[in-house]
Amino acid sequence: MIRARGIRKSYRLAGARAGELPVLRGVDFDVEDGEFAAVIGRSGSGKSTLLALLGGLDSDYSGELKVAGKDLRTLSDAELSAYRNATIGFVFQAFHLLDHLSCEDNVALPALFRVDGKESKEARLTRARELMDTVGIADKIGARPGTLSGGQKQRLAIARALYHRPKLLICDEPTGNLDSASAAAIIALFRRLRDESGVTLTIVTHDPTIAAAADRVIEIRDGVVELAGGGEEVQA
Amino acid sequence: MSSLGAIVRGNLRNNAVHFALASVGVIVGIAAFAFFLALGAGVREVVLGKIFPLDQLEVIAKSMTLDVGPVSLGLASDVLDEKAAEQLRGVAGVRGVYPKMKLTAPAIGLGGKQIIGNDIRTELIIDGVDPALVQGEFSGSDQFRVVPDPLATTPTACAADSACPKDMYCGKPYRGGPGKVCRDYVPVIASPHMLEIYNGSLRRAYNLPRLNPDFLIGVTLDMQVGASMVQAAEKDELLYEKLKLVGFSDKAVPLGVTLPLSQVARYNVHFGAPEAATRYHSIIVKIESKDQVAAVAKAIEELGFEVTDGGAEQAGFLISVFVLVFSLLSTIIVGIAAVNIMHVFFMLVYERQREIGIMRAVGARRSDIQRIILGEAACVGLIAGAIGVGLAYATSRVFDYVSAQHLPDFPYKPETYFAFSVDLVALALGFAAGFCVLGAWLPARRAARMDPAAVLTGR
Ligand SMILES: Nc1ncnc2c1ncn2[C@@H]1O[C@H](COP(=O)(O)OP(=O)(O)O)[C@@H](O)[C@H]1O
Ligand SMILES: [Mg+2]
Repeated sequence: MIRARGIRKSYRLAGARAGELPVLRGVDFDVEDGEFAAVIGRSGSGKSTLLALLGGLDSDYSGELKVAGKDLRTLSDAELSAYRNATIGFVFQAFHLLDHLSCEDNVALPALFRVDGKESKEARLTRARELMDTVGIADKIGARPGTLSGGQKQRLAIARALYHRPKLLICDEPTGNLDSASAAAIIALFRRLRDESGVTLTIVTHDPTIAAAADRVIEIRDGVVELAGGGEEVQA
Repeated sequence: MSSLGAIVRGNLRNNAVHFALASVGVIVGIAAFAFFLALGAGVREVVLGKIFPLDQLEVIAKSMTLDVGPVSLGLASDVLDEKAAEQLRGVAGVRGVYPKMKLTAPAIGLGGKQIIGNDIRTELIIDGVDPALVQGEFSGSDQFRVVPDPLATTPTACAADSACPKDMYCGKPYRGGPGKVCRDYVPVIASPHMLEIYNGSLRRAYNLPRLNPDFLIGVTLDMQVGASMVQAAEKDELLYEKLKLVGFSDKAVPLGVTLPLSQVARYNVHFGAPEAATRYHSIIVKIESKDQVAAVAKAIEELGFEVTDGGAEQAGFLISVFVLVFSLLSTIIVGIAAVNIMHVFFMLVYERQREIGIMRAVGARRSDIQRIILGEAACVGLIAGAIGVGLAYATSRVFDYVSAQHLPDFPYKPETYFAFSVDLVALALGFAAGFCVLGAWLPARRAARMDPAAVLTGR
């Protein structure tokens, strides 16, 4: 699913600390189809930077990055947008829901940017409700995201990420804002989704229990992948 | 696109207060724009529609003049005759040709008691027009026709009007002399301009009653042709007639009375030569459409005639200048408003970074973001423009009301000074939307180029 070779990424800084800030200095790793991969590392090590590249939000890097057969750096803005729209799904630490829309409209947001084959409003709402049921918040249909608990918000965000049946879910510290009980429930949900639909998971986390549950752990240290293996190895 | 419309609608609702504040300038600017444009159009309608009708031209014979210092000497002056009328009829774009003839003998009028309480004696300016020119223009226009020649019939003596057939009066014989005979009234028409000027200014200067056109119809005036207060006629003879006003028409001579052409020709032949019957002083040329006026005027001049300038061109030009100056001012207001719109959109784009980032993350292209923001700007512009036009319309009504209630009468005082056309409204709305889109252009570009990763991963 993912093949990364020699990924280098640096930020150009302005102002007092003007200059180049190298963050990734040659990252290599693979994630197989249907795998559950955890990305770990210290704060500031470049995990979010790597996810932004994987998610097609940033194509200013060097090296080779192929996701679902697409070489991301060569895609146009329209192609990258279609990729974000349907090939992958994003889940963020801060949920990033739109508070002025209903829960269903939040889930169906990707449908508004779909380029091939528009769906009717009814079809969109039906799909949104079905997904809310899948992630376990069917009782929140019609509510506003503002009225939901943290765990429910993250379930809603996951439902949105699943809207176009993506091949890959990219999650940046999805349990970082949750208490341990909610976090455990979200991890269970990820595993269930992977088992039921075969979606590939790439999850950035600080949470040792997530890393323990992963098929593969990718640790970033000093801009390179320090160790890549199964979750149990890390724990050991 | 329709799905982006849903986002635009939602954003408009969410940011209604911001947009309302941002659009105040646009509303004011568009209100000024629509107001002055409508004022220009309204005034143009009065000036070019009523004061200087534009669908006709008056053609006169070309006069050759020699300017010697301050003196200009008339060297030669061709007359207009039936041949000239025929030539003009052949010009493309001409709908009709109507000769006019001046009375070449002096005439005086006596009357006015019915109207202003006293008889007045006045030199009359008499013009003749082809009755066909005014046919159907006012009720009773069919009465405007030449009366039977009194010299060709034997008059019946009478003592009072009642002794004569209906529509005739008992009065002095045509060529004077003792006794009274039954006579036809000579129908005349007058110019509404005369009435306007009288009611609008003269009346108040002399403290006379206001005249109502309907009330004036049927008024009579004694006329003596060949008589003059200043100059004796060539023939030492007078013709006696009684004139009766049958209607008002702007085809009538502006100051004076207008008779059927053949009636004037009859007097001119009587006091002059037989050729006087077809010696026209000018010819009114009616034109098929206003757009052809210039072309027809040019063709007529190429035939060797002269087109009198009624002042319409200068008046039209002045109005255009007025409209131009004020629409320029309004454009500046709207332009400043667009800068304000730009500031507000920059602020909104900054405030909505997260929302824009979310949309990008779920598949919005840069162009989608740009379209959403420009769509919002266009909607804000359309709404502000509609409010502005409404404001302009309301202001115009207040103006018209104040004018009707509190301004004294003046010539051509219109009921409304404004003309709001569909075109004008469409122009104002397009203008408002266009300027808002222009103002939002840079903010929309910035939004489209924003780095979504930085906002979404919490930096
Ligand atoms: N847009 C940016 N501009 C400049 N520096 C950035 C930007 N994003 C991240 N960085 C820097 O890159 C480094 C890695 O950041 P990040 O990928 O967010 O780390 P992590 O997610 O592992 O905590 C940090 O030092 C951070 O300050
Ligand atoms: Mg991070």
